[in-house]
Amino acid sequence: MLRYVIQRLVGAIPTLFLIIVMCFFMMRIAPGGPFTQERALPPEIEKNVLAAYDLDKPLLQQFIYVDSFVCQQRFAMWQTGQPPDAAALSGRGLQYVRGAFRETGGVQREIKCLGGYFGKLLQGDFGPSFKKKDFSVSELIADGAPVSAILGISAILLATAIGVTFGILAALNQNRLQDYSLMTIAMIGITIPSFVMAPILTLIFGVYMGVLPVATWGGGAFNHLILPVTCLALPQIAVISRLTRGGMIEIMRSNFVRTARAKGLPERLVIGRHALRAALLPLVSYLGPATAALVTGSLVIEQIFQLPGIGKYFVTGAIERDYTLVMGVIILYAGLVIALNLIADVVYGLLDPKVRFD
Amino acid sequence: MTPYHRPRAKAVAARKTAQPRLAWFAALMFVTILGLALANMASAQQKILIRGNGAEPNSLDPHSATGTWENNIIGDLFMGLYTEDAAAKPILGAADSVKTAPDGLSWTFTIRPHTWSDGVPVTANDFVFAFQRILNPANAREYAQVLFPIKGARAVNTGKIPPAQLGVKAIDAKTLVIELEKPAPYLPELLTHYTTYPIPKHAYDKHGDKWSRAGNMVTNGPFMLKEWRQNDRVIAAKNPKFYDAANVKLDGVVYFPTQDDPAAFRRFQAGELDMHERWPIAELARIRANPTLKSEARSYTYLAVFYTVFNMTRKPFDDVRIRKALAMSIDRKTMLEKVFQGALGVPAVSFFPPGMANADMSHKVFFADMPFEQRRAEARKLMEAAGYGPNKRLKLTFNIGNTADAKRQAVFVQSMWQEIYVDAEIMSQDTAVHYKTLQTKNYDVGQAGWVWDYNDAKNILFLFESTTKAQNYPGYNNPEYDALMIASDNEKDPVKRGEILGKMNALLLRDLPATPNIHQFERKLVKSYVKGFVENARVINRARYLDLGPEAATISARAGSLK
Repeated sequence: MLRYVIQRLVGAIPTLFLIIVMCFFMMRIAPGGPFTQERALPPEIEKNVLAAYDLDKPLLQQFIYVDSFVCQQRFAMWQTGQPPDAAALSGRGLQYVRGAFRETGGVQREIKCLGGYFGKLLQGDFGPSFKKKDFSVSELIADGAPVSAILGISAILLATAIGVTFGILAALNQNRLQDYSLMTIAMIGITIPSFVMAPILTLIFGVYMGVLPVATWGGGAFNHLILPVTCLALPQIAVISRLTRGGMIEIMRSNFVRTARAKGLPERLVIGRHALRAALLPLVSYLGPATAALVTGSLVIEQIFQLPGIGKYFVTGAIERDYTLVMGVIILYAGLVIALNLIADVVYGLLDPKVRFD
Repeated sequence: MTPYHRPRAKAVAARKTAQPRLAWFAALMFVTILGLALANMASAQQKILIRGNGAEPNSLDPHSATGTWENNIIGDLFMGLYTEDAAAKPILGAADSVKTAPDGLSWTFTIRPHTWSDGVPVTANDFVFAFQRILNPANAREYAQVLFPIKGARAVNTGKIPPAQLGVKAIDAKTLVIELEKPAPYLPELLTHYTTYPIPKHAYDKHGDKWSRAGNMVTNGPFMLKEWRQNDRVIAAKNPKFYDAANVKLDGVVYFPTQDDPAAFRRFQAGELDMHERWPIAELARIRANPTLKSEARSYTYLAVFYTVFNMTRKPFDDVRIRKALAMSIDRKTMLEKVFQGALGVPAVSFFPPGMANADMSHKVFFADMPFEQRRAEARKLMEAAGYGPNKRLKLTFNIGNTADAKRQAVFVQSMWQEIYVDAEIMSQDTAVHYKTLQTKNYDVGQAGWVWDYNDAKNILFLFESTTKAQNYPGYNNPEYDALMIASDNEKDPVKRGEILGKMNALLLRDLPATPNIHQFERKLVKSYVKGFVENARVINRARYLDLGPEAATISARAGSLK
């Protein structure tokens, strides 16, 4: 199994690279840029700003470039331990300031040995945010990701616990009142979007009854979590209960369940030990991507409850053309989808004896 | 003994000592809870204003900020040579006296004896440093253009002269001289803008560009930055070193990024916010039905104009008859009353909004007082004269930004134009793309808006100068207009300058490169217990003038907002 995991992880590298390349160039193709706005920048200021963010370079160079001269200088510095020769640098229009090679004129941009967005990414640098000037992309994500993760994980746990229970109850009482009522609730959960559900719940519990805070993170206090986690979990409860019900109904008719019953096992064990394990298989493959989507935050929930998560960066970042920020969250999301799909597949193997990893 | 037994033996040993530990733990918990409770009571008695600030600040560095919501915070933290009074009129701030040279080109300020929040004195050098920093091309600051009236500013920003040659000089620690390219009677207004605030050089030397973070930042204004939690809240505490601290009533301000107006409105109703930037028009019925809400939901015009631009570089919009017909056939009054229930704003008859300073406000667009039926008839005649009619309709694309209000306006305007033989196709784009489209003049007719940076007529009139290029959306090119702008720049007498600027407005209203539609309402929500709030066209309400009445103390959310 270890071999399988390693194989999958190696296979993820080209996938991730392809995602990065496609997102990078698709975003640049979209009209407008981070500095096009209602008030046009005067040409001289636009020139400075574009140069400061390397946006005046050819697109390919914005993605990756290797500056052999700077590389040579870096290598020589590493060998000799001496700062570079100022005369040689000035011949190339460069200067060495505080550990960085910078251009002498204009905005004095930094020239790296391996540069461009991807070049810096390889060195672990997600770049500065184009809009949130006081923070780097890594800082923004590091600040917001825990909030989104706490909300997402709480929601998925809540949804799984309730959804699986609902699903089993509905399946065991198939086509009876319990089944119809639970599945009606599930349908309502799927069809009412969170931007409708969230304001209704805040109006009832926050404004009219005044028992729960209407919004804000409140440092992650329990009473601040209740409404957003509920709103995130409701549609998931619906999906999960329907998936569980479907799987359960199919499995309860299978031969091995009949065998288990014939052996005289109590119904509790037939369901808990035999049927449920197999019935949860479709759910497992659903939970991987669903968890990735939930822990990377939701724009709607963050807006309505004014939460400091990272979900909003996908949308506002794209609208404002904050290229580096969008790239940062997409890489995080893609990495999570890959990792959680892998985990789902491994769990699948553990649950289903038919699956082998070689 | 198997290895499995060992931990169990240890556990037994541990249990023997567990009793006193448990007691200690309980005692510690008790003290902590007591402490938290006391801290809560203390903060509940403090006067903390909780403000819904509209959006998350992109930066709290006055040199990186670009938005009004950032101005709301930064202006409470810092104070420029001039600052705003309660009604947002300019008053002396970090300077306590000013002398203007007879030619109006040189202003000498004496710095008020006051300190940064860490006790280091504010000197003229902090201002020189700040002006040089924002204009230095290596720092690539987007808003540097606001400072171009200063001598050498444009040259510094384009790298033609070094920052040291900028026309902002410190004679000594207390004396600052600002030289101008042209006399600028509006300089006091300009010097309230955050791009002109001083930067604490000692803090910058220590922390570099991270000087503006909580913990590093020191301020010279009424408040100081205590904490900034990204997308959650900004907390400012009263600055005890502020020169007028005795008259600052609030102990602190919490600014929440309330992007979602309906959600903020619910928070306001639940008592979680004392103020918010905009009430949603959708809540109008509820607000009008509730006397308390009605008094708390304000609406008044501010320095903004929303207008329709015609691409004069394209046929047939170079024909003034077409522009006049399109302009006069929009029934703005009906649109505002029927589509927006009178909550969006007032019809604009000029480019100058009510409350604007330094200009002759008397000029109105020629159809301002004409009954609408007559306007429509005249518009048809103009279209017919230009060669259009029922059998030859004018087809045009109407470019708008992708917002709900813009779409509703556009549909209304489209139907009005149908009556004068015009078929408009509405093209809605992302805001960034929309303005790029206007700037590159790749459109027929478009929707645009302008919000003033500082209270002076020049702040809108420069848009239509032929030298403005991209931002001159219609491509208006009128030598007479350009000459008047130069004349106004050289005019020292404020009254005569105001008359010139008024004439420029009249030229725009005659030629109609764009037609003003709406002066929008500011729709602030302000709780009745917030004292000292003054409605003003600059929509700036500095927290140093605000206070909370006794009713505010009952709000339970107040104590929690500092946590």
